[in-house]
Amino acid sequence: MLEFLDVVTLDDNNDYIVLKVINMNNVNYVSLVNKDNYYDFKLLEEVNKSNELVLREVVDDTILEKIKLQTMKDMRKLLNKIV
Amino acid sequence: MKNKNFSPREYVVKNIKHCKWGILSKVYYNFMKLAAISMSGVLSYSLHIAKMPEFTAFSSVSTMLFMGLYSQLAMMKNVDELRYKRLEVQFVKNELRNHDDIRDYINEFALRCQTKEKFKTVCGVFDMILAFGLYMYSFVFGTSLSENTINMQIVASILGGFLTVRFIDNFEKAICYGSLNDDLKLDLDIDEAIQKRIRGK
Repeated sequence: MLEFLDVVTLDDNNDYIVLKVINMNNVNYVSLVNKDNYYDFKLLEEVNKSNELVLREVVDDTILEKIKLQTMKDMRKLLNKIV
Repeated sequence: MKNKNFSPREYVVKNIKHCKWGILSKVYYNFMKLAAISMSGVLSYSLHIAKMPEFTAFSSVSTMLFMGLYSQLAMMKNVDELRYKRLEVQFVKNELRNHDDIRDYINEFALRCQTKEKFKTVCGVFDMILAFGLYMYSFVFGTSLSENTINMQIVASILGGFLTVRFIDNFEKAICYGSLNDDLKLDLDIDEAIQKRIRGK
């Protein structure tokens, strides 16, 4: 399972930093940002395929909106805490 | 709505590294901090009680060395923290689609950074003055005082060491917040320029 600030290398050989892992309906949704290009941002879900960790693109709009809302709430709390 | 037949891309995770400060780095950082503080006390002890010039020279070099190493580590730690704060800002920016929301969010963040920068600078100056005063009391004024006063001088030099590491940390934090603030202001300027260009077209 991935955690905040883990660096992962995906099959495109780029390194990404885990920004947030949200668990919804027993599925982990992971947001990643490219280490070298902050504009390269991915929202993926964790899938285990024959004991191998696979990240799959989230295409369901409802899930995307739910995660976005959840993230916004969490980020507001974080913003007040860190700065 | 997206085409439901669209098959989502799958990425295989090749390796996982951790970019948080590990336990060893934290132990090293705190050890340097403690070493720098306690060496100030040793320096005072060597000057007032041991009265051995070689020991005094050794402890003063060690104090400077530990302070220098601590300063390097504190800079690394603060730069790391700054980097992740920058990432978090980028993350929220990606999540917010509305232009005004992004501007409000960045403005709020930049303002907090500016306040924090000023606060840390003031704390740093205050710590520096106090540390200087304590060192002056411990190392400069009178070496032939009563035993009770000598003990006070050792305590003063340890306290001076503690305040020195605090002022190093505060100044470095102030630099980091200042840099993040400048970065965010630049973001806003670029954003404004892009918006003007879009509106112009």
